[in-house]
Amino acid sequence: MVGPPLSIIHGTPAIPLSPEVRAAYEDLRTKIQAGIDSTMDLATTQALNPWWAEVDQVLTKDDLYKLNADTAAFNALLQQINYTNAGLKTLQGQITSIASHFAMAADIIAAIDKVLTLVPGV
Amino acid sequence: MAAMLVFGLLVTGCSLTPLAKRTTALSAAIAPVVDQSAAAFRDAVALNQLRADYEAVVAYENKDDTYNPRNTPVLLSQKDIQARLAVLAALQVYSKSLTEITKGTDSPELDAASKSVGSNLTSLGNDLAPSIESVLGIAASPASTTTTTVTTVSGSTSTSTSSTATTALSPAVRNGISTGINALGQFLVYRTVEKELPGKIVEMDPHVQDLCNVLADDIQTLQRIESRDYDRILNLEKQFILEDELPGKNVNPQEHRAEIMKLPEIARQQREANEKLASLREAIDKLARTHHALALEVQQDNPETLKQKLAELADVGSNLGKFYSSLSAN
Repeated sequence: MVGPPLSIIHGTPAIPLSPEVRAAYEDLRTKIQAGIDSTMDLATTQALNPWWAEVDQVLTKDDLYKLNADTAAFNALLQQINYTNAGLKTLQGQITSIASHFAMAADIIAAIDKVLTLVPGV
Repeated sequence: MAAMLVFGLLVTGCSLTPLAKRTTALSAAIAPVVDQSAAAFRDAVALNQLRADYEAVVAYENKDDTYNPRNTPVLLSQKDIQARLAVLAALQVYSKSLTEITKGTDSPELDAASKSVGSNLTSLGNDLAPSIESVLGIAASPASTTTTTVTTVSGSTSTSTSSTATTALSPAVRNGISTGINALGQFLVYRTVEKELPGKIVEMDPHVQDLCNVLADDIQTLQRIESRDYDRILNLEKQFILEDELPGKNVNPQEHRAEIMKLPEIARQQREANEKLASLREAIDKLARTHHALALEVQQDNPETLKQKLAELADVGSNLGKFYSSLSAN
């Protein structure tokens, strides 16, 4: 049976975990998992599962901290992207106005055409 | 005039086609990231909730009086998921805008306006037709009518001549003018795009790279959590099965076999989920690279080979040809 180093588990590690501490917890979890996977003995399974859960709790806290930090980063990035999108919308408007200016020219030409047709002497 | 405008467009507007191709590639790279990310967030939350159900069983079997189902932790709240989906939706808007802008020279509005200008030139064409026909190398239209009237009143004779501008410009000339106008419009659109767009894409690139980095980290974190959630479910399933085998439990053999058969199925789901998230991370990486290539494309003043430049010229010419063909013959 795998004996988890109690000094690591019983301490309260600071979140976020340093890469070294995180790696130590990951390694511990992998070893406990290997212990569970390699037995069909109920007593061993019952003994290892709570240890597995304790180590997982530390890793999950660290992961949740990262997810929360990501949420803040996503919110900041959203503002940046929306700012660029507003600029692109203005640009689209400029492009559309080019076509509309051509349409306006067509209207003016049509109006001139009508005047020339109705008043041949002009 | 039309020939000059077309030439002007060919000379100055030739890098728009690869830009449009790059923005289309960007759009194609964004789509799987958005779809798969949204699914990944939902799947991770659903799996985490399933694990919470298993943990409830453990709490009751251990008579854990601190357990309260109302205090079950949530992996990602609706607000957290919304923050992720909102930024991905904004990225899609960005990509769509780029695609629309870079395709601006091929706009139906511009085509309609150009056609309208050409068809409204009937009267003005009386003066312009000969020179336009000369430039375009098109035979003169025979359509104008001249009528001479001789009238004798009280021994004096007066002569009057009137011209009717029926169809002063032939369809070929009108279409030539419309095509020239269309080329001018494309040139103006291109000039606006060329002036404004590169700066915006270059400015956006570090934000897209940041977004891809954060998203990749986020997915990696979810991948780790999911992997542990599956492991925990498998571990507890195993424990429940072994407990059911204790003497005196008298578990129905069929139900017992069904429980055991759940294990490989859960393991398969774990593997598939892991593969999906790995594929999503690849898609995110591709998105970052595609946008960066686009930013480089607009920064460098077209480092392509002469062959490619010629292909682009042919593309632009072909677009104008298509527009010309779309004009009616009357």
